[in-house]
Amino acid sequence: MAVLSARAHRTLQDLQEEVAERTGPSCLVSCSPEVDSYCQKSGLSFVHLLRPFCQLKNVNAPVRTVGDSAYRIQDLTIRVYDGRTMYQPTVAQGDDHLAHVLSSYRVEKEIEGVDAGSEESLRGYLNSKIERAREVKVPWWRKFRQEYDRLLLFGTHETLDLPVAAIIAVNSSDPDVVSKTKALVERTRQEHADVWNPNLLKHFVLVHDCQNGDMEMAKRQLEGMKLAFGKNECHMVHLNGKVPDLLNGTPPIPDLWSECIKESLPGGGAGEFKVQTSGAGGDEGSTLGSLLSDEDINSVISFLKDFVVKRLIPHLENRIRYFNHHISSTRKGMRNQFKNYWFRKEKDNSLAVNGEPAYGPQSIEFQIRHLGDLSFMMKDFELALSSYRLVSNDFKSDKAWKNYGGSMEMAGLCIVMMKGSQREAETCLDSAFSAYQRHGKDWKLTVRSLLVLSEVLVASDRPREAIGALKAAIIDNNHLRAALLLEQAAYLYILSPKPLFRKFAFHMALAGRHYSTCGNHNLSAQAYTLVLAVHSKHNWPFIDEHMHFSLGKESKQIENTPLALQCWMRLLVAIYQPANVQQQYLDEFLKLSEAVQAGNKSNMLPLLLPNVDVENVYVHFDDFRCFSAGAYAQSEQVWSRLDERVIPPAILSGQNWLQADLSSSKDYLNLCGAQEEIGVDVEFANVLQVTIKVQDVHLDCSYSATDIKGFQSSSAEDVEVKHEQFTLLPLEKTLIRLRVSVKKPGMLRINGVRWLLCGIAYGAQEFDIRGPKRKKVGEGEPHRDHPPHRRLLFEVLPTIPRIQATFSEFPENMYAGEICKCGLTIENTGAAPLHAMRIVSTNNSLIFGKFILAQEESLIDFDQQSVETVNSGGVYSLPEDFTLNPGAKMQCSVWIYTTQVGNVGMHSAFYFQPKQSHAKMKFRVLHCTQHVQVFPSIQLSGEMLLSEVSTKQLVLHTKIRNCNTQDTFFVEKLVESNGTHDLNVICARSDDSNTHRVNPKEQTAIFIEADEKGAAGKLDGSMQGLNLAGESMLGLEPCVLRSLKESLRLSTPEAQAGGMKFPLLASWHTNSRVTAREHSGVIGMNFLMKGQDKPMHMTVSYPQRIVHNFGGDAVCMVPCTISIFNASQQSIQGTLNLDNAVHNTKPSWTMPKGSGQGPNDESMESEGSDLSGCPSYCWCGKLVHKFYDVQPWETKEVAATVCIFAPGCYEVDAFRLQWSFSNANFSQNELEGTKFCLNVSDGRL
Amino acid sequence: MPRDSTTLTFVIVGEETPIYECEIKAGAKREETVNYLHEFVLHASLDNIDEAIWTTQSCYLKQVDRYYDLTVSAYATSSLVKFLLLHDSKNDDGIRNFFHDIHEYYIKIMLNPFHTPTTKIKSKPFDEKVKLLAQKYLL
Repeated sequence: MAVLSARAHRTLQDLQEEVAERTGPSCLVSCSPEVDSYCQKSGLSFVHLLRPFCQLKNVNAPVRTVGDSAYRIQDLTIRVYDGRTMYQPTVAQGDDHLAHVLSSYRVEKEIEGVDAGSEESLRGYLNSKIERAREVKVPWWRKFRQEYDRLLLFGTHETLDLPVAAIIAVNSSDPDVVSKTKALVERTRQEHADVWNPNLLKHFVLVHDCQNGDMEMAKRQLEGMKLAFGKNECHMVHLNGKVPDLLNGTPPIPDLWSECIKESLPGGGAGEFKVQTSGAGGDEGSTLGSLLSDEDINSVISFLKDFVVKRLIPHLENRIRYFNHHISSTRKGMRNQFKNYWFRKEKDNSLAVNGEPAYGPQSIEFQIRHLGDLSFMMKDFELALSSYRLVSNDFKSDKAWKNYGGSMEMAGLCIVMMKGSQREAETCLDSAFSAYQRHGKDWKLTVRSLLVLSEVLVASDRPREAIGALKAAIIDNNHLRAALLLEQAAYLYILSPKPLFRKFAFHMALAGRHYSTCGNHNLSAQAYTLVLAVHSKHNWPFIDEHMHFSLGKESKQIENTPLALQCWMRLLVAIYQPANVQQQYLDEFLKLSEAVQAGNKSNMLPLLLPNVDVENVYVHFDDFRCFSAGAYAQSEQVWSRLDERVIPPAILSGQNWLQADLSSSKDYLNLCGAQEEIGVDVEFANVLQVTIKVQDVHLDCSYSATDIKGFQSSSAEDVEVKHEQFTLLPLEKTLIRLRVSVKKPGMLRINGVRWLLCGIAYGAQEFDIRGPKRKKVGEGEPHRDHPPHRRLLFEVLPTIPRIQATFSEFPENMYAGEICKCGLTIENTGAAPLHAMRIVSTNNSLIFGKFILAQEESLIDFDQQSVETVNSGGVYSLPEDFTLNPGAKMQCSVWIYTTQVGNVGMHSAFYFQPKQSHAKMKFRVLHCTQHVQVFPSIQLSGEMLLSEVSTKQLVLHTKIRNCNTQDTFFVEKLVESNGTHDLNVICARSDDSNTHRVNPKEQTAIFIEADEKGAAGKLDGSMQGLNLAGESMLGLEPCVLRSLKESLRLSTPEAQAGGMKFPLLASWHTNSRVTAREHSGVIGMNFLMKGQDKPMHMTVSYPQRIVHNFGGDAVCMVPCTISIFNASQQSIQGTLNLDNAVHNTKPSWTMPKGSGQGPNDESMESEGSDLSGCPSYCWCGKLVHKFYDVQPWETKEVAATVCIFAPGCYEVDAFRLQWSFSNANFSQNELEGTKFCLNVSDGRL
Repeated sequence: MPRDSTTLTFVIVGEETPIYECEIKAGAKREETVNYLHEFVLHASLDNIDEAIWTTQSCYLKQVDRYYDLTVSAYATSSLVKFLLLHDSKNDDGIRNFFHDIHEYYIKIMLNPFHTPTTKIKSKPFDEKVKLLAQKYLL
């Protein structure tokens, strides 16, 4: 608030100064024609010559008006007018004049620095304006205000502009000066009878032209004048005393006069007449006052000072005293008041003008008003105020509203000058306003009173109310004044404690519209520019569009085509408009653009059509990872998994964070090779409903041969950009890949995109990619962090090799498990040789054969060089020393095998190293993606059972399911043998063919018996030894088959811990209804051992029938073999205990009759009655067998002997195995032996 | 000055941006000049609203601005999102109820976690609801 009060204080001072300036005593000047011709030599008239010196400072003149005490006047401004111009022009003339003044006003510099698109610039401008002493008044407003006041000078209801003195100027060259002076006075009196009165102060000036006549002579003439008119009444002024300095040239004269010369009206009046500023003398008088020396100017100043101090002030004192005395005697005092009250009505109203009384110079009202004005001039404001108040009552009772308004206006000003109560001043001015309104005919005065009121309100720090006053002043259809007032009101909104920018904008827009209507396009354009600065964020679409449209039109009018072009450019996004309007805008824009750009490419416009998505771009480039078509779209995870497999760890060593050189890491740079293409995906959108053609679309790049600091606009020698073109239909969006390639190593920066719209307008947009801010930013480095696919800064390495992999005859669709063949061509498209190639594919679904180097232009087949690949774990590597030269091609066959169903992506990665390794790029990987539609086929499932008969036999319960809904599959004889087992189908079909037919959505089951082949080897779970029945039928090369088996092995899930795995392959074929051709394939599965809870398996082999001669030998020894089979995945240790049946008394079925040991014995007895009395058996020999480390899938055999003492049938079960896993401290498990029967007969019979 | 018997423009302003605009007029055909004038009046009234917000406890700010025969009534939510209604006839109670009901719908829009004060409201149901409320209270 302190600032505001200071400002208000300053405003008040300004106002006071202005008022003092325009209410100073006015003097009539009359001069002889010769005097004017002297002045003309300097390009001036006598009046204009005097004007700059009329503001007298520090005169320090004592004044005593009516009070007892004297006071001193420090500053006094007098006004000098040529007598011929002292009348008021007509209203129409005045309006024309104002229009002319403002239309010719040069305003270019005023809002310099304000940009229509930036609110900041506007705020800066307004702040600086408020800071300045003269408030927010724009210069043309001040001009308007001055001119407006000037046009209202010499009003009939005011006496303020009546001359109080006459200055008579005669030339010294005349021999008889005195008589000439008298004649001039007489002539002046006659010419200006209306303003002349006998009491007018007359002052005589003898003007001497130094170039014309002697100074002494002139002095004598002056003496003569002094004798004739009085000593103090005469003065001499000499002119044109400057001697041209031929040697040094004339120093320039400060221009004091041009500001004081106001434009004259065509009808004359308003205190001004036309001056021929070019100088009548024509010699060196090109600048104003060029012939005036310092002495000349001093003589003028001393004349004016003497005149004011010695003549004018005393004269005015006298007049004031005279009028005061006269008025006191007629109007003051009780008697006079009564008299006035009673007899006033009887006054003669014959002088009425327009229904209101007019007051002649002899009337008392006129005199009071004159007294007020005189005392106002003499700065005796109290006297002035009381006079105005006194007379205003009279005027009010006479209903002389115009006079009343005038006096109230002056009363208000008095209070302002006295720094009295602001409220009182406002009341006075308010009543002046309403009085003028009641008068109703002279609205110019109404406006003036409101202008004064608004100034007073601003000075009292109430800008809002001032705005109200200004708005009230818009009372007729004068657009110019309305515009000026609205503009001023707009500025006042900024003065509020909290600046109201939106109100400012609205009023500015209204002002601009009025300016435009009255043809003042300069000011209109300015106003619109300020509005647009407020609306720089383009939030309000209709305002934005309308303002740009208006400003565009205005700037076209003032021939500011660049500005117009900018506006029409904004109109190109007018999405609310119908198509025809949009087309109109576009046409207009293109017309302007043709004129401004004139085909010059360097003059780019930040076009918004087509709309470029500058925040989102996708950069396609090849660093150590290259992508073929379609591969970009795959997820990063896919590639990182492949990369892990394909990149040999050795090459990555030294790249961990400990060893890496962090200081030189440049994570804001992308790497690429020279002469390789970089693609940037940019989205272009047409927001309009008209079709547009976009040509010459290319990237705007900078290139630096050295480092990041040396970027320069790229030239065709360094960088090659590809140009695209396209047509955008209404509201269409398109994604375009723009390409650039760098020819030499260095640095590349992509700045933005450029295009040619409709063949005429060149547009450009810079990319603005968002990202988190970087913390430490070096010189030239980007300020934001971006992921690689959005980085636009590249380090270009020297030429590095690069390959292109093309699959030919890649199937579109296949069945799961089908083996399809296609071709692959690998070409080194780079400019350097490469070696050490490695290839992998996802799930090993691609199997690569041997490569054949294609000979260029050679048709001789046997000259082909073939390269074997080595497959280890799905990674196919070519020999290290094999080099693929630039341009060389090689081909190979690829077999595709997958068991996945659906749209399957076959991703592959090709690794290679440049022959000449570069420190920043030791290797490269090409990523390829192929897609194939895989239909479901046969699915195998099932379980593996251990044969109860032998540990060397397994039974595979195989379920074959046809998952396809349409096709019938024929499953071939499955597998004949693998490395360890012979496989036989147990229940073959009755027709004895090996083919099993499976209809759509059906399932069939078969059992396969697997018999171990002797003791050689053990089952290792691999498929390497697998022999397919139709191996030759499939026609696969051995390497392919190997890889196929390998991939099968990898594709099946891992067996559960402790379980057993048994691989099986089956081949199938079908006649597809979809593709209408025959398909065949292989399906495989790993059987898992069911029953993980029973990892140990124990069988006993024994003779089926024993005949023993118990007569010869009482003991029959039966040899048995107990086999222990480890079906788990871990090694096992344990103990086999053979319990002694003798001690254990376990003579099965030989229980003596009637022992009665339990209810169960009843049945036993009944079943085994023929065994009654049979003695028990017992084990003999080694009864405890210990095993250590029985390997998985291993069988241990133990020889045991059973002793029988009598013939009979024996059930032997007294043996058990105690075991545990050897590598873990598990609790002991026990496996009871399965009982078996020994049937022993006596040989004696 | 374009004159309609019932000119109604409803705008929701978040921060500086109009996030929802709706022209409600009874039987009058759209005039080209009206749009920007309405926007200007509404935009300029934001200055008054900024002042009016701090002078009252209630959300409804009543009439905040006039331009000739166009009146702007306003309502400010507690997050200082403003509802503005440009109208040329007096209907204080109706406008108050209209704003109050709109506020409830706006809160539902705001429940969307992705809605920021400057997100444009493009919800069709919201638009329909606004028009329905306008029919109910204003026309």
